[in-house]
Amino acid sequence: MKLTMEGWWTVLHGFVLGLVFLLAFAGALMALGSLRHEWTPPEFARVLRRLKIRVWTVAVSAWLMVITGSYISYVPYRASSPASPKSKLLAVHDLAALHTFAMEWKEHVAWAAPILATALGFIVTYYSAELATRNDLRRAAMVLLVLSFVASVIGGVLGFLIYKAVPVL
Amino acid sequence: MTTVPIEKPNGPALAAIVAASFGVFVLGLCTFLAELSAGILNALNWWPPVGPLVGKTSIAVIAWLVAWAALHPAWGRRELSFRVWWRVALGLLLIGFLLTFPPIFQIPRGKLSYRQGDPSCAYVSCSFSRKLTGPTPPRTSSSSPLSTAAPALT
Repeated sequence: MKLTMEGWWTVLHGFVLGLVFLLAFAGALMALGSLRHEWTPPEFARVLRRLKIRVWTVAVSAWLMVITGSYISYVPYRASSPASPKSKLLAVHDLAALHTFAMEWKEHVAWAAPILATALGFIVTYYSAELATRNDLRRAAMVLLVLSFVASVIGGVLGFLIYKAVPVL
Repeated sequence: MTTVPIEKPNGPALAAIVAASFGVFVLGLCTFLAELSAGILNALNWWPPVGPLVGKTSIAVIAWLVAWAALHPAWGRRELSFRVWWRVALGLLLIGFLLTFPPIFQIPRGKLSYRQGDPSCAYVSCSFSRKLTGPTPPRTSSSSPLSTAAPALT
């Protein structure tokens, strides 16, 4: 199977960046949740460095996902031609909700992910080691991370359903 | 054991959190307002290939950055009530997320369809808003602008 340029962009947007986001999210959540000041200074410094890398990877991958999704993959999707995925979905009664519900939710809610992840990145970088002592800020950071994940997962799952119905190859 | 003294106030963290929540809220608000009138929808259409999504998301990002740029210096050296501002942030996030949920932000679209007798109420939003507005009246012979724009899916 040979992919077109649009297909490659869709693969990058949904699969590559989505995978990077998922891996970084899991690592960041683990590091954030296990940040304890009982550790020895070298261990603590190592975990902190990993945490910062993972959190910023979450933020950068989330930005790249929404930018490639909105400005590259979305353009052929919503083209007015009858062959565009949007036209195909709207032409079939049973599939119309994949645009009117799935795509319309996905294209908006996904933008919350990079905004929240960037705020999280700032908090982790600015407070750094203090996060181990400040339970309120650490918990707030975890909530931001999870909400960013939820927004991305909504986009990812709905995107997968749309892609399954009208593949971009 | 690593000793970490608390030296920095919580103001910068709350500025980042509240600003991000405000950005999400503005995203939801723009999404909802775009459904209220064709004028707003057209005003948000900054780049036709992508449509109004560009305007909505760009305004949200600008609002987030401006709010952050304003709050960070204002709260940078202050210790604020975490509980109060965290709740404000969660409230903004909740409203923002709800307003990006199609059955909610498409309510104006459903009402408009209802008023104009649009038959395309096979859409999820229309079936949802139909519960609020009542059954769709029978179609008239004159076709509305919406019925030509949206495919008849009944």
